[in-house]
Amino acid sequence: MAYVITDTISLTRRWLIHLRKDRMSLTLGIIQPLILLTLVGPLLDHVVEDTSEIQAFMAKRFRTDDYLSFLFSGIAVFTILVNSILGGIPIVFDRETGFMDKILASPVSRFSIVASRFLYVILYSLLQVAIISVVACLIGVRPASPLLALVTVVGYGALLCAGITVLSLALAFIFPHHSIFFAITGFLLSPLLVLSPTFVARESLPDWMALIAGFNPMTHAIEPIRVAFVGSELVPEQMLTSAVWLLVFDVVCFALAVRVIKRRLD
Amino acid sequence: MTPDAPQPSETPTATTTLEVTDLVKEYKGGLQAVKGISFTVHEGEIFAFLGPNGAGKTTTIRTIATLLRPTSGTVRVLGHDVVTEPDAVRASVGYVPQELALDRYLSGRQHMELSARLYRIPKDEATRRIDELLTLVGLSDRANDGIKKYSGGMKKRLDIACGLIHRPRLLILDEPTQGVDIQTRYKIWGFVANLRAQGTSILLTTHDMEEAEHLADRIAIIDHGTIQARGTRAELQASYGGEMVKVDLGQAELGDDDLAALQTLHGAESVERRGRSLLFATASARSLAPLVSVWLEQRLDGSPRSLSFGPPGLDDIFLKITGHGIRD
Repeated sequence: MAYVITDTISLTRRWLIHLRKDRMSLTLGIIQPLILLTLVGPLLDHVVEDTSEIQAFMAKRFRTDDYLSFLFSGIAVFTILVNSILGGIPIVFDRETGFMDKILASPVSRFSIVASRFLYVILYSLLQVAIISVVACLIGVRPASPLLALVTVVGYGALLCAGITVLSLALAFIFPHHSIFFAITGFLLSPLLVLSPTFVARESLPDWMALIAGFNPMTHAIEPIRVAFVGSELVPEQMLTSAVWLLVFDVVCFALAVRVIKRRLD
Repeated sequence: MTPDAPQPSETPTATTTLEVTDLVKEYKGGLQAVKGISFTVHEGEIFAFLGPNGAGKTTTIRTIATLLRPTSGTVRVLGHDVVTEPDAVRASVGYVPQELALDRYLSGRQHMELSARLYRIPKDEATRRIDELLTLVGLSDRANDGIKKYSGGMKKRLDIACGLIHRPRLLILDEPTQGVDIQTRYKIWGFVANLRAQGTSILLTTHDMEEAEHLADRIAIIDHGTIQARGTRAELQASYGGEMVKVDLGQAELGDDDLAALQTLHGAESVERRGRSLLFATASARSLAPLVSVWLEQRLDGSPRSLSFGPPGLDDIFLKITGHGIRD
């Protein structure tokens, strides 16, 4: 057990060196969602302020007239989703270049190989969202409950990140080439984004889309975080339901991924 | 020398570092890359696998490095089985793959530090070994540079140094000098020879005849997943028939009847055509060469373009054993 901890720390240090050397990726990863927020948010916010009828419509459909804060929860969760779903990429590259063989030829714990990347992706995603949140507040996002906002972003963000990351890692051990990995993850991202309450509340989606969105893990991360940002009336039971839903999702993802990864690493 | 299967097994001794017995590796889809090979590598010995691409060399060494599971047969490193005691095997084996397996974000020193942590070497000891190895491979002054700034030869030397950090008893080098310049090639040969002198066993794969000739104590010629012949260079030469006579025919044409007639010359054990050349296997090239020369002068109304004789090179032995050149 002691080896598992030291091995995991050793391998995580490698990812931290990547982070230090590749600051460009972190910077762009922060700027990109902020661009979306600063362009789309104020655009709609402007429309809402100009027209009282539309404002009323937005209030009804979006459950708030502060669309910027409404949108932020969706964008924050989408950022976490993108990080998580692409979290396995360095593993794919390690397999392609033979670096993984070098690691596997050593006595390092197999669990640590996966755990180090898993921990790093979660920490990186939360760090990125934390920075985005601070900048978002500076450009006009006003969390209704700052403490609840922090708790929900970290809690629900981590729950979503865990399940998706572990699936991404399993994919990284299945597909030998990054082109296939990118094709599959790219294919998954669009429907996950559209079939979620990222841009509009679930109630505002067409019935069939709302039904599908109920099975989208993004939905169960966005809605509780949104409560903290726009102060809408999502009841604690619903927040708990989302947490349980994400936990079950994580358990299923872990069970699937462990099976796949174990077969590949043993 | 006959293919591996009929050969008596090598008996492991107290100094046996690696013992491979009847190893078979079959991939999904039924492709049998390794078809029941056996060999041993002893302490302080360089054992070379010589064979073309696809012969089964890399599959064999990946199995020894615990990266592949054998379909059948056993592989033991210092008595530890690769299937039942993989961690004990990993701790004793250094593996340097054919491709440069480096992380583009890490410096030379960071690579070494990571390797030391993978093998759980205490920090102080690791620092000492890293400095020692970086000096050995001539990278001390560039240790803190990112490997993006390294030449191909420097990267290869770093890769080998990483494989040595835990002082393995068995070092596996997969095509160690492929794609490197001549200078680096000689440097790598130098490291490998030094390691042998220190008692490290080395298993290397190569399709470079000169490398095998220069470095190896024993050579196994592997083709189509089986060891076709193995032994010291002298043993392989003896299996060829001792010596060879090589004749360059130029544009002259010889038929099968001519070859049959040449075969009857006193001392000719075999004769074969290779491109524009004739190769004779013989116990005494010095005796056979004048006979061949005279016969050809009469048959061709003039001397052959050139005639050389002496012990066969590995490429001649390889051709005779496998029926094709190493790069065919």
